[in-house]
Amino acid sequence: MINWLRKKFKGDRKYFSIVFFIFLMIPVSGIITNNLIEKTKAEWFDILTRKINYLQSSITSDFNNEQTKLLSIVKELKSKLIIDLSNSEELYKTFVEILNDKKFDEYSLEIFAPNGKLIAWSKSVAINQNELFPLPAPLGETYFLEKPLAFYISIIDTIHIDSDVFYLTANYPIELKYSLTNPYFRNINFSEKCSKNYEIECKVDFNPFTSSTKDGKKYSFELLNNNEKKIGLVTINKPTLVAELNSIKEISANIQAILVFIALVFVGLGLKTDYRILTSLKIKFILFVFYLVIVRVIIFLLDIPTRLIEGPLTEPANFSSTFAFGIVKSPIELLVTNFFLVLIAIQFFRYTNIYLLSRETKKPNLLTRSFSILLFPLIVLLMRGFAAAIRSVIFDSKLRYFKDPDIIPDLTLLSMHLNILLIGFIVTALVIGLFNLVLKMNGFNVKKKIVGLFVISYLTLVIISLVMFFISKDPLVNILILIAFVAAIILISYQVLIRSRNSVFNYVLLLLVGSIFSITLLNYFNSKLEKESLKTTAYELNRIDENLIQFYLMELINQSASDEKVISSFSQSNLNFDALAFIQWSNSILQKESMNSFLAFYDRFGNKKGSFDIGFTSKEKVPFNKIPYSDEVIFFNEASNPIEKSIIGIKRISELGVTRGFISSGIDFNISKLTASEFPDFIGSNLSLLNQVVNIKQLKIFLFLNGELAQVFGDIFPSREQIKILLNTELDSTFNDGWLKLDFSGETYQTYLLKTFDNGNEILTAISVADKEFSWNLFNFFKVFFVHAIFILIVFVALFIIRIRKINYTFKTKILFAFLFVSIIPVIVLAIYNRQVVEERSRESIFNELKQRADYVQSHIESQINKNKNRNIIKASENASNELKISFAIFDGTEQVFNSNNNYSQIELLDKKLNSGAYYHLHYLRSKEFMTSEKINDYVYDSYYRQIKLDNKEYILAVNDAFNKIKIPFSTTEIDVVIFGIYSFAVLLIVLFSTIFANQISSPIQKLTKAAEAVGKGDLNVQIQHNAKGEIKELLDGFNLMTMELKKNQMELAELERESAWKEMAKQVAHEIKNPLTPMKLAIQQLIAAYREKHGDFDKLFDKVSNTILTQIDNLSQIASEFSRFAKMPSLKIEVVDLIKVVNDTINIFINEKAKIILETDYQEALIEADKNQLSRMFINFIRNSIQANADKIIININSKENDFEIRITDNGTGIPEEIRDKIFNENFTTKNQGMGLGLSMAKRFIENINGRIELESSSEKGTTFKIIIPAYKKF
Amino acid sequence: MKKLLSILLIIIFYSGFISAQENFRSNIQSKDFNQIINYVFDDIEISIREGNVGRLSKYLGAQTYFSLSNGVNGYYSPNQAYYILEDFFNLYKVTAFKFNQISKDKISPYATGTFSFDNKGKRNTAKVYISLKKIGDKWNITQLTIN
Repeated sequence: MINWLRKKFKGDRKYFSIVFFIFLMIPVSGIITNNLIEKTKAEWFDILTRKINYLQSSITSDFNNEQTKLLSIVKELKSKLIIDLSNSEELYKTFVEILNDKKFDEYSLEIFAPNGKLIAWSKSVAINQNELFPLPAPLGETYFLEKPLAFYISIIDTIHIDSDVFYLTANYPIELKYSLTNPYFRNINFSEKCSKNYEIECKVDFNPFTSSTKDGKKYSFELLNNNEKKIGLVTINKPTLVAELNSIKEISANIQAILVFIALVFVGLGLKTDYRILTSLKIKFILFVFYLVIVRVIIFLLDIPTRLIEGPLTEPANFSSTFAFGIVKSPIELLVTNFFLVLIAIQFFRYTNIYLLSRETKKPNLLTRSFSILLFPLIVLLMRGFAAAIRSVIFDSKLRYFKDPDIIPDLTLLSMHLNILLIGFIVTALVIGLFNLVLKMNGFNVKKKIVGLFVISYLTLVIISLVMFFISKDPLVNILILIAFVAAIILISYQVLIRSRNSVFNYVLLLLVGSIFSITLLNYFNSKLEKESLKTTAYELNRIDENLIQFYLMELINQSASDEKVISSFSQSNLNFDALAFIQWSNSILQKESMNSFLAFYDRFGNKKGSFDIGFTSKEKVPFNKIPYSDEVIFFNEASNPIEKSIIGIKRISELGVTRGFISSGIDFNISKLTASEFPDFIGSNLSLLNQVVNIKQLKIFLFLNGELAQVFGDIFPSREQIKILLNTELDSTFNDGWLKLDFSGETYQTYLLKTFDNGNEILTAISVADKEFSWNLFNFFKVFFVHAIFILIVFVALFIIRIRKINYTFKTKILFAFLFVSIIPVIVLAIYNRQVVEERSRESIFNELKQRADYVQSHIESQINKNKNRNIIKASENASNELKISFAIFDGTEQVFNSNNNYSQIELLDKKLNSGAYYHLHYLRSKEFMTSEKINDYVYDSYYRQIKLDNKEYILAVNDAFNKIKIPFSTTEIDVVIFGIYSFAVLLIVLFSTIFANQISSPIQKLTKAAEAVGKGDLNVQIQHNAKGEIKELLDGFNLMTMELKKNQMELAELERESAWKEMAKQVAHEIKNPLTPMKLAIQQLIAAYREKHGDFDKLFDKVSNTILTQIDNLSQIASEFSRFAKMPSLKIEVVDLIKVVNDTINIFINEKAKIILETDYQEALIEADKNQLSRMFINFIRNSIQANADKIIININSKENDFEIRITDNGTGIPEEIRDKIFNENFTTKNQGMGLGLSMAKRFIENINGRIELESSSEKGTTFKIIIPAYKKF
Repeated sequence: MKKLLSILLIIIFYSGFISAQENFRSNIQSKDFNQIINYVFDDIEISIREGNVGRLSKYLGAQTYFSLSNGVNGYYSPNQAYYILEDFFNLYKVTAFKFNQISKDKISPYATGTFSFDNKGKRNTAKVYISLKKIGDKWNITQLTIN
């Protein structure tokens, strides 16, 4: 079994085995799901009990965590107070100082004196003066504190200092009662948090007396405080069986989708080796694209990743297109599609580059050339597709790419910026790839000079681009962008093909160019969108008609009337009705659309109990007797003309036929209030439509009623002539709209006209904006470029790390580091310094602006009081606020006595207590003025405080920029964009140029190093090709000369050595042969003499002499064998060597050769027994032979077969002629002029000596393959 | 005199004829308009009831204003509108929908209705406001509010 598994998981088979197992798991998961469903149905009661227990314990634990946080803060605060106060002489000052500590900013902390006076507080105040007693809960026990806009978890404790007892209160908001659609709103809501975390409807009642629900579908449990006493009640909807089963099915479907996705990835991995073996780039590319398209389509059909993630990345409002059946229907789907396209674009770019630089260039015929011309329109269409994609990114998205307040955008915008960058990269890489094909089809050859071909191709591209631009009805882009892009393509092509071939940093260059042009297009289409927004503004003005306003008002009034809290509040007298109105209004569509409106509550006599008014003031009394007793809402239109809408709706609230009160709401819609200037930033909706694209304040709007100018928005009035032009402009018959240009004060204004009809009146809406206001500028460019620069730098660093691992710490990297260090450090230092300087200036500017406003207010109030001695401070402040249109507050001591925006203090969104920092500085440190940052939710604003003396009494005057809009030279974002945008651009250029220069400088040295290494390993054929000048030229030429001389000397030396060896050997042979010859000669002479003398013992002698001769002949034979052995190869130094390492080291020697040498193997290590130097020399010989046979691609493939390693050396050189193939392993056989004919014969002898085999596997005009088999090393 | 009377009679006859014809034409047009508006709102009602975005999307113009209870609010292109509605109907599965009131104003007809839905097992209702505008020969939705 283990062996079977081992077989299945060997090599690439393991991937397919995994795929097989995954496909087995899919039906298994289906079976498990069904079992789980059946089990859940059968055991639902037990499961439900467990689930409820789990929910109860989890929610209780969440609440306890909140409680613990508060308790630990109290503990920390108490210990700090005790330590600090023991060394302090000014007790109260120290209290304030400690509570002002930044770490307590999230909490409302108060310290009360023994008499109940509030003496110190933190940034916000929850319990005010006179609100402490009677104590709402026992000391040291947590409880829920209800305030008009929020519930707090609170605690009251004491600290004993000397003999005095001080009260310390700590409060932490746990649930806000209101919610705003606003970027600064921080939604603190424990109930919602629970609902979201546990996917169950959960409601917390912050009241210890609420009883448990009796609804069988719900479940209640108590919230206990730190003393185990009930302080609230949580009610959850019990989980239902249907929801549980749906959840199981969904999880199962998700798992199955992920399994299919993983299987697809493994299929790709399994095909990797087969894919690599393929030699045809065309087939490789087609298969690659085919695989990726299949994977993308399948994961799209499986709804991955949309089904796995939730949030803005999947929201179609952020971006969606119906293109290709919705394959880019959200930002995340676009990102996934782009990821696949990037892979295709990279491969296309790579393959066309390899194809272009390969030596197989046939002479182009007319057909090929004609076909290549067809590629030019394809390139232009690709560029058009680029523009269309970016236009879709702008027009099919609600994201405003240039209006984000932060330099680093949120995840959604970040993903869209990445998408934009990737689109730019994909198009640039594909265009360059197509251009490579054009060049190749027209006879591009690396060895030939191709200036003419380049010039003709470039010119053709420019001409075809221009022709297609002019014949296109809608060319999408303007001619400048088109020409610039074509020029950039030409420059990259030159850089990639001529200056730095095969450099991975070319991808960084493609990214950079893609980024620049995608942002340029983004900017271009954004200005188009801004122009289109004039249309939107006109639609918006006409969208909000009487019917819609009545629908909105009815909705809000009915929503309030059906709220139990609102209904029950009518019987309460001490309730903050203003806050109640704000809560109801904040949850309505009126807040979402930032409409000038109000919501008011009236008692049964029609007297106002409270309201929230913003841009439209509610009436103090309603004509209650005119309102019917029925359930309907009555509407009044108080507008003075048909263009304006000032509609109020009122509804009577009655219970059992008895009137309890009235609810009224109104909307005032007219162009003078378009800017929603009454809306502070922390209240206004981010969805305020008119501000989404253009700044509404830049618009000039003219409304004509039945041919008469009825209303104007903005500071420009059209002349009679202009009115005539506006009225007589011919409008489109379908849309009733049109465009024209008007000149106001010497500036050109784009104007959009829309004719509509309302109640029989003809209304012509004209919206104008100055041409200069369209944001086609560098600021926008750098805002996005900064984000792109971060992505590009990440890619650069990643490529650098990948490269550095391969090339180690080389001369080139040293130079690159030196360049980067010398250039980037000053840039960063300069950027930080500049930012600090500008930030300080901005802060100074805010300070001066607020100070100036405080000066105006102070002198206005002072002059009023001086003139009218009886005028009180409140009246004088009201006058100053109305006349100066400056918003401010006046504090008497620490209590607010006046606020221009009192409604926000009234609803307790703003504290009535003096800012504790201001109190500390003005009261204790006796400063004259003080500026600090304050917060409402996440909205941060600056407040300026000053001590003033009015009528011999000291007050504190406060002015802030939340209500007083201040124009500062640069906002923080603007500073960041200018500094980081421009500097990041500079850094990228530095990085790019540093790489290019480092390459140029180090390239000859690198070549020299590799060549010296090759010489060191015995390859004296190496010659460095270069275009260097100066000392480097002399050095390289010197090296080339040296190797040539070395080779010549080596050959001469070898010749001499051979000659000398032959001589010596001849001498030795002669000597050795002579030795046995003498006894043989003597023996024969003796035998002849004996024969002539007829010696009696001739026979005996014959035997003896014969033996002697035979012995000597044996000696001769032995001598011959000895010489034969002597003539064999020098002795080998056999050791265990790693074949892969030897091949890799050998390939490295040829790194600067034009030929691409690839090692293909699945092995990390291949151990054999051989002589390392001989082995290396053999590979050098093979590679050198291939290069000399004009090969530009050599593949060394190492595989194992049984107990051997099988090495195939394949090249695409000219091949070995058939007639000499059987002689190539013969000694002294060579086809080269200077060769000795020893290379292949020595290789054969060496391989045979290590018990291997070598053979010529194949050879043709397209290349040659040698097969070598070497036994693998066996560990015993 | 006879001639004059004859001319007068002819004028009266023709005036009456023309007037009757105008009246008839106006009635026909009005009837056509009412039928068309009824048809459009009926079709929209069915599309919403079925959660059929493909059917509803034919009434989407270049810019449609959406204000939906899932927080979507603003003008959207047809590309966005398609998937916004698809997402909305996936999240808020329609259990019932009917227009309560249809205003057949010739310039800007609108309808309000009640939309009942199931959101992750939780059932609720929302008010719907849809207004139309004629662009060329086609009626487009200018605003769709589900609140």
